Amino acid sequence: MTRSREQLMCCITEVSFAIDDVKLYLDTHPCDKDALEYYENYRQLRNEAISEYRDCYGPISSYDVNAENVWTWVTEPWPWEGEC
Amino acid sequence: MDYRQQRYGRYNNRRSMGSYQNVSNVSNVSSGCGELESKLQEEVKHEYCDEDFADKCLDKLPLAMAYVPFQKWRKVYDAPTGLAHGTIFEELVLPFCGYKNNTCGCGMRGDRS
Amino acid sequence: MWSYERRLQHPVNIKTPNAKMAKYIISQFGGPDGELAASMRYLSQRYTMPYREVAGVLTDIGTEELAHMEIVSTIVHQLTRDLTIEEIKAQGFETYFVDHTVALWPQAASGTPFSSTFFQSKGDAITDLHEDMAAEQKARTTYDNILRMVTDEDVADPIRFLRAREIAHYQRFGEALRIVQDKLDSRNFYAFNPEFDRELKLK
Repeated sequence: MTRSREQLMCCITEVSFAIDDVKLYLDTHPCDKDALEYYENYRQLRNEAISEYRDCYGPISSYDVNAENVWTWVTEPWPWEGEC
Repeated sequence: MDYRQQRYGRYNNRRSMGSYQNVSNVSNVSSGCGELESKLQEEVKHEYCDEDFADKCLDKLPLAMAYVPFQKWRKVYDAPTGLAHGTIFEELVLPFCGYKNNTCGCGMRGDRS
Repeated sequence: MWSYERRLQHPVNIKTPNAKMAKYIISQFGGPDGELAASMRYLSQRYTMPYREVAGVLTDIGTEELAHMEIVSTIVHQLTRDLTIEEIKAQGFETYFVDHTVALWPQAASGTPFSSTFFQSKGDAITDLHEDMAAEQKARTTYDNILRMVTDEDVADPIRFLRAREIAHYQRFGEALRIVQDKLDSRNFYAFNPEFDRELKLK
């Protein structure tokens, strides 16, 4: 079952943040096996979530836009607009 | 809580389990800065010199330089918990408690065992 | 090369406009200890850093600070976008409004415009990392001060997140400094500048 837009974006936000923080740790601990494993786990989860979001709701990156009909990069809300 | 007590309690529990048990009553340490500093140095020596870091004891490090301890991989949150705390590392969760509208429920490091 | 992702690193959803809060939060956008200054500081220092792990730290944290700049800007934007002219006058926002309406312009709360003078890129690994550690502490203190004054949880939530990041960054810069120390002679860390005195560095 497809996750909702909010659920998917929430998931992307969470896993991306985990990568952001472990990435900095790896910069100063490049050989830490536990950290490398943590990174790899979340890298896969992130790729899956982003593909699903792109297919169902719209592009996250301008390098990966479904450009069949319309340039959806400029038709979707921008992140600073918020939900309100 | 007295600020110095806070610092010691926090420092103790962050480092290791029970390595600080012998400094029982921190409120007795009120006779001046000299005594506080030597207790801190003793704590660090006890902590670092028991591991492989014999040459990393504070008072053996070269002068005129700053040293931040290297973090170890431990107490790591999953992604949702990490985002909620602003870091995946529990040991780096050091909230600000000095404001009235604080709803974050301050947990000092000293509260964790 | 930078990519942009159509999302915020942490969500921002503010229901109630408030120009008074925006007036001081804007310091973390264009002020001396704000996210733009942090980003430019680290991204500038990285080119001459002779150790790849440290260049990695500077690149990755410098990039993250741009994402933080976006969060702060979003907070200020959501606090000011729906204001009426009466609210603008009542909340003391006229001096900013007259020059910028409700657009974002990098300045400090005092009105001082953003400037490279807010940071240094000294070209010495030890010096620059001390600058970076100080920058993270200054940013943390600024967020502490913001938290003292903010009364809206929608605003406090992303601010607490940003503050937590400063502490994590401080730890990384501290570790980067340890890495530099390991590559130098501990009998005299200041014997030469590893970013410039290449012949001495290779000895």
